[in-house]
Amino acid sequence: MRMSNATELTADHHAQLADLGLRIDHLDEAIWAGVDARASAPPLGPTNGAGLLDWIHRVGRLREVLVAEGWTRVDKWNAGLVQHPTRPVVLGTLQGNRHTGTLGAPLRSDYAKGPAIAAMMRGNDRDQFTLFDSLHTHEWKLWFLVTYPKQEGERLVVLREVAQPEPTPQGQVVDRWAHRITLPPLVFGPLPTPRGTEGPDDIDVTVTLRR
Amino acid sequence: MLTPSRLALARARRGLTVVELASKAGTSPASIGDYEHGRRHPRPATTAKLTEALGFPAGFLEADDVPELEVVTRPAPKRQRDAAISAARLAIGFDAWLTRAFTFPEPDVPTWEHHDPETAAEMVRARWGIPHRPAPNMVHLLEAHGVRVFSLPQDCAAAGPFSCRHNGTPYVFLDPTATPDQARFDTARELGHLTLTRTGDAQTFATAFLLPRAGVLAAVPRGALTEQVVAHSTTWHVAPLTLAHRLRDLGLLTRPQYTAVCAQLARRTTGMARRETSQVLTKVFRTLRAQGTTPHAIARELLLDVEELNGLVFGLVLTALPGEGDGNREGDRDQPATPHLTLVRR
Repeated sequence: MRMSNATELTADHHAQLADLGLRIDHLDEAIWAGVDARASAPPLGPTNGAGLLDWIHRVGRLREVLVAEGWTRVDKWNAGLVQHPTRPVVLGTLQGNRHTGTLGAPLRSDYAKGPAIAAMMRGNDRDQFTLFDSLHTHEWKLWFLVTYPKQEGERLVVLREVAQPEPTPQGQVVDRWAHRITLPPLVFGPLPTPRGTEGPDDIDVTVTLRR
Repeated sequence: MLTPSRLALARARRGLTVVELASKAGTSPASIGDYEHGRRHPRPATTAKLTEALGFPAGFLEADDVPELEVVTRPAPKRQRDAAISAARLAIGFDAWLTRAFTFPEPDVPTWEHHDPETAAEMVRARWGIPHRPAPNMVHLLEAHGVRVFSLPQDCAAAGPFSCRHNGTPYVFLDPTATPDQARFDTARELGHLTLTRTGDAQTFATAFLLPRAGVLAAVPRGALTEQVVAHSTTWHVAPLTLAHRLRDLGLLTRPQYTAVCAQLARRTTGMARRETSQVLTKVFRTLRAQGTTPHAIARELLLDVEELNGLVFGLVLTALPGEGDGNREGDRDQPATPHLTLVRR
């Protein structure tokens, strides 16, 4: 499956990500791992199996690549976050909607958020300090790698952006955003047409009887 | 009169020590040593006992010398290594018999005197007219360029595949127990051993030959998913793990992606369904059979038993073992021939 940026990233994209201590390859690794894991969902597994595997591996790989660069995992209430070593940045993953990656379009989270995320988002309001236990000494800002996979013919297109939500109460979808770094989609596919399943091509070897 | 080198060959082929053969044949180890070095010749009755103890047909120990071979095998117990090399010497004798009866393509395996297996693989591909596309059946490809490909008998599998040149003809001997993917890769690796005159990296040669850099870069996208690796591996006729390794080396998979793909592949059973067979041997046996010459008759002419002959073509040709209906047996000449065909292996 082809993995490519549908359009080129600009220097501004790179600069905005760098402000958060991120590089595009961090995000691409995480998205790749999630999409790759989708195929391992058992055919008779739950209908959300592929998406669940995508989330598990996306979170896992994102934290893997960032922890290797000094970030720290944050697992309070199973939030699946990762915290920058020096900057007030905490990063998580989120599934968005079809407007993911389009600046100005109404981006919404696919699911309502639980208590951990709601608590973390309070720090995104400049007037409030987070109540999150392990982070109480700083004014942390919560950001998300927001993705939305959609099938386009034989291609899987992953819409993506890195966005900072405004504080949102527990149990509600996130639909208000303080900052959005919209990125060009990542395209996977199509699978190649199966060739050569009968084995390699044959060639004729000349064998002649002498007598 | 017993041919000393034949006695040593037969003993090595059976994996026997001098002491073990002496015990089986009812003679002394010193005598065996004398016979093998030509210091003494046994009486006909002793030669017959030795022949029987070694399990070769009458006359085997008295036939012409069989040429020595210098080959490098994978590390293996000496007995199995010697048995494998002895089998290869018998195969070369079989090939000499075939060459008297048939004409085959002339050898065309270039040699490369530098330390660069990747370039060597590209050179051979260019010379053979397959610059960037998936390689065809590797056994056929080698045979089309004058390489004789045989199998090692099952009891010699521990020695692994190996290759050599003898009187200008390149030979490859394959492991009969290898999977179809592994056998194809082994064939490419032995081509590397034949091509690289210095102690080169035949493994790298084989990878580059089966998965040429330019062809793979053109066909496989960066960051291929596991599903994509599997799909492309069927196009290139290699094991998915082999392709994943190549993609990592070419920078098309990052190390974490490579690790993830390998982990996913470890849960799957994929690969080629059938081993690549020999076109030369298939055509030879088919032609001979059309003329009424059975494998049994060929073995008899080579002073081998048919099991030994089948061992040398095991997995390379669908052949027929002479069974109870073989009309060539003594005493059966008046009986109608009802061939008993046995599927050996493809």
